[in-house]
Amino acid sequence: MTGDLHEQTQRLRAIFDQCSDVVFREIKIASRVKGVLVYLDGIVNTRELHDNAIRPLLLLHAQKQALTPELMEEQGISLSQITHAVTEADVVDAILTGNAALLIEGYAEALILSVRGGEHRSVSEPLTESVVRGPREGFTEHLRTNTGLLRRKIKSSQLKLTSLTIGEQTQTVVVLAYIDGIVEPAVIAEVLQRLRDIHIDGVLESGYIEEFIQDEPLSPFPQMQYTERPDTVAAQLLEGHFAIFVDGTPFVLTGPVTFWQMMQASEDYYERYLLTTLIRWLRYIFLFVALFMPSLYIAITTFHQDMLPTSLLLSIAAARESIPFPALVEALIMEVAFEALREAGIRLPKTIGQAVSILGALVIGQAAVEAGIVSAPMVIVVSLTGLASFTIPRFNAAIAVRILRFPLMFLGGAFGLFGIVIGTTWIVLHLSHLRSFGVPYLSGLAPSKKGEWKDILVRAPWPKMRLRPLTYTQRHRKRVDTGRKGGAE
Amino acid sequence: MKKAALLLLIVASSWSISGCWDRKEINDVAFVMGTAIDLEDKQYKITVQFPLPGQLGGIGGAGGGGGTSGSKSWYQDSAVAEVGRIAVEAQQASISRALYFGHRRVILLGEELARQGVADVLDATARVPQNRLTSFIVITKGPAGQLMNVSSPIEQFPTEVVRELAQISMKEPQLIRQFTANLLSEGIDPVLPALSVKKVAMPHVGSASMKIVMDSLAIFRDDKLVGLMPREQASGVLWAMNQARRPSLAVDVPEGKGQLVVQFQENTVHLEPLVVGKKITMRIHIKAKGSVMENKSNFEATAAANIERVEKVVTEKLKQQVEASVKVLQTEYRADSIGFGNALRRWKSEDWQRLRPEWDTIYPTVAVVVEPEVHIEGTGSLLKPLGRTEGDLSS
Repeated sequence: MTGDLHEQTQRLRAIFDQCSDVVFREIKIASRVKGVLVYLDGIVNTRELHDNAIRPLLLLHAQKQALTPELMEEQGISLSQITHAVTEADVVDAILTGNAALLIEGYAEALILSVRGGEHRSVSEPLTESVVRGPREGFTEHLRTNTGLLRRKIKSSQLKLTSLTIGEQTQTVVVLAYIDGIVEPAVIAEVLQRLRDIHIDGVLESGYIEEFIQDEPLSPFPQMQYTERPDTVAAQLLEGHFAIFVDGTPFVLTGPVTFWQMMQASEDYYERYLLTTLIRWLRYIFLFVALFMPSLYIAITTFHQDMLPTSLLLSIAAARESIPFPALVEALIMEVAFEALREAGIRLPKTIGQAVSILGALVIGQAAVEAGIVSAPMVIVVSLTGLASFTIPRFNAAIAVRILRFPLMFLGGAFGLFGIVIGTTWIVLHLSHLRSFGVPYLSGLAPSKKGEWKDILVRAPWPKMRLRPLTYTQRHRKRVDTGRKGGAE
Repeated sequence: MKKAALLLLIVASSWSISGCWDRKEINDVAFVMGTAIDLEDKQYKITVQFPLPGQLGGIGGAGGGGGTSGSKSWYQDSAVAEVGRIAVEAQQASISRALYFGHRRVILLGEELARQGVADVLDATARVPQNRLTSFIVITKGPAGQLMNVSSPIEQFPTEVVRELAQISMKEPQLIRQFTANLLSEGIDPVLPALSVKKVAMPHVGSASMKIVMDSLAIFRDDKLVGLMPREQASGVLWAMNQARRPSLAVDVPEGKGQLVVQFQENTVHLEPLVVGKKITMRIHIKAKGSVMENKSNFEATAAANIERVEKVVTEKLKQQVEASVKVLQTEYRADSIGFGNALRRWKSEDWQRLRPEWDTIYPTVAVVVEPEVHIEGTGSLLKPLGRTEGDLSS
């Protein structure tokens, strides 16, 4: 930077050429010294800028002293955050991230005034993860609001929020959050390294980051979890995970993850343990249903009719009597129709959504059965499968199950139960091979850690879960003070 | 990437080579519900019965299966050949769906065949895994194929009637597995439930006028049928075999006139052989618990002392009944259905080794002592016989 205000202004004008939202406001500080305020309209809180910077600067009473930037900072500008920038690049960066830059005649530095503003959504209930019992606040698109929500849950200086900027054009701020003293330092070092290795023009959602840093990009299983609930992030940090906030999206990534975590919802820990335990078993059962039911139906009805009870077999035979397709084709028709129905329903406005459900229920369900194109048992199988895939709390894990269902159906249709066994073996092999930031995906059961069964097979009452899971961290494992047991004593 | 593509190619090609080779859709299979085997001119006549799914009332089929529609929900056909399997093959030539025996639950053997010996036909019921060993096996008075053709308004298929009847015939229903085990065991002869066809006493208009009745017990000596024991007589044998399923007994009351009926909820049997030289005494201990189901006498059975008197009468009656039945079994049929030989083998192994060669001649001479121990635990919710005045009551 040079001290020449005119020249400096011209250069900034050249940099921001054709940027119609840039504002150059020339003022005379204390009616003596020329200055120029540069900011981008729309991401700056202009009211605050006017009240706390322009107005006091214009009315500054300093007839005798030299008007140094320090003096202005100390006596003129009533803003909480002011920094100094000495290079042109820093000034431009500051302006782009929502600050105002004050250039002063005769000084080779600029004052950066933090007057960030602009419109953003207020905190509201998360749409994708609603709960019956539990906090109802969700993250927003505004990074600082999000980190604030987290900080309000964990009031500890141990909570670290390391900041990085990723995206050559978008300059998106990414914050890595973890609790120092609980998290495994090697994991944090690894994550930071992976984050720094990302070179991309823009980051618009945390999904960009996830695909860059996950261990096994080809796997159908998610190796990071995302959530828009601050309480979920807080709980994960307390277990020794890390979280990645990305500016501009309410979805926060957490990791490392295990398969079992995908079967857990935040509410599991708020409801009483007995109910939660039963619900977890229900989820495991329906996980099995969601993955295997169509393929088992195909395999058993086309290869192993002897496995069905006679009366059930006769019911199926009666229903299938006039069906023109083999069971595999029939199942594929219904499954694909169901997936299409779901896809159509997601992106439609709510008013049209009703029309889709009528189409689905009536045309694909009832009419297809009555016309004798699809058998009624198949409709039951497909709808039960669809229902089952909704019981998996994590949407991205449910997607993996939905995808794997199709190859299993082909295997079941071609080789019967033998094919399903082969497919299952492959899935189990893959799952045991998979790692998320060094943590085995099935950790807890494989490798087996007995203490962790109480949060996988059941959900133990809180006073019994005294130690943090060994899966994620070896340090600072005490969670519940054993000296003071829960309950009135 | 290249490796993945190659893998995909291999998987895709294997699909077309071997995929689905043993696939069979439900629509292409006829599920045999029961097989009847008869002897006809020294050849086997095999009759199979299978359901017609189109008539079972599934959606898309023609209407629901009402009893009045006239069209049966099952089909049966038979073929004759020297070997059972060949008869089945012959049948397949006229049936467009593949006959599938994995769901066959009953096998009916005609009386004539059974008298010639059943060992020959048993082989086919167990050799192929498709045939289940848990099929019920029954004997029919007269040709089995004809009995299987008698439809009942209660069940969808006649074979279902046969199955249900066979299931409640004994404590331990005679599946192929049990039957074969008894057949092959030393010192015991198998028995089977036997069915016959009777006229329905009060037929509904338009419905079948014949019905399937389980009215006797088929007594075997080795694998040959030696006779059909009538139901009343057979009841005593079943008692001794520990196979009586909730048996009832009607006895004359100890005082006054009329009868009362006791049904036994629990009964167990223990055989105790006593051997002196070639003289064998078989003590049959029966322990039974029952309750009064009906009292059509004027005897008040409720008081504790009276119950004891009833127990005494029941014990005596039971003793008589079982001893008489076993006598018939020993002398008339000469079949060791209860397993005296088996009991001997278990408890007096050395004596059994000694007596085994002459067992056929010794068996009819075995002295039988029946020792029932009867407890009547319930007399129902009525204290006194309903419909009688105080003055009428005896005791």
